[in-house]
Amino acid sequence: MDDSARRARVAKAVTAALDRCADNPKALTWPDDYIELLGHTAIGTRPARDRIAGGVSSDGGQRRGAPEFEALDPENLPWPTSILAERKGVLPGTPFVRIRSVPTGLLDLKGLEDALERIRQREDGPEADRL
Amino acid sequence: MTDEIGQAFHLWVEEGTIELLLAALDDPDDKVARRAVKLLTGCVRQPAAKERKEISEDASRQSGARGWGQASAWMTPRGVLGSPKR
Repeated sequence: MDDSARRARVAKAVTAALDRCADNPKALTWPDDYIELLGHTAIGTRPARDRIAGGVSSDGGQRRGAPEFEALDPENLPWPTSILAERKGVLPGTPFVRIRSVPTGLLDLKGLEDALERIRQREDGPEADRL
Repeated sequence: MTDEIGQAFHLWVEEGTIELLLAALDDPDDKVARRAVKLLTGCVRQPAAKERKEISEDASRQSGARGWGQASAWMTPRGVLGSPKR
């Protein structure tokens, strides 16, 4: 199998995986990884491009919400902060703030746009003529 | 198998490995397919300039980079401008 055929095979397999989970991309656990690979391999394949473009408009966004800050009681630190503080030799009574960033469940918009742009660039370049 | 390959890719650099990863994309076990996605992405993506500079300054990473470069060549149409350079 030659190099172009390998890329085409990757693009076909990844597109099929994304289509199988079109209603619930999170079933792939890391759908952004699949989309990145598709962006590196798909050339002149409308289904792949449409799949990514559809994600940009419907599933794309910020992967994580705005950070949330929570001041912890320095005299009663929750686990595992208490264990970490002890291991690091932090003095008792030291104020702690917990910062959390909750996943939104959306696909990484920048990753989607980057993948789409890579496919477009190849379609305009010499690689497109080979497939 | 894909786990083993991922832990020491530079020791598995041959065209048969690429074929194995391509087959793994269709594996019914999601974990296997996910691992293949990660490894194949490493084969086709071009490292950023900063990453290339770090590799050039770190001898311990150069054999690994050569492995990825060879795999990239097996995945990239010859004579194409902008082909991955490692």
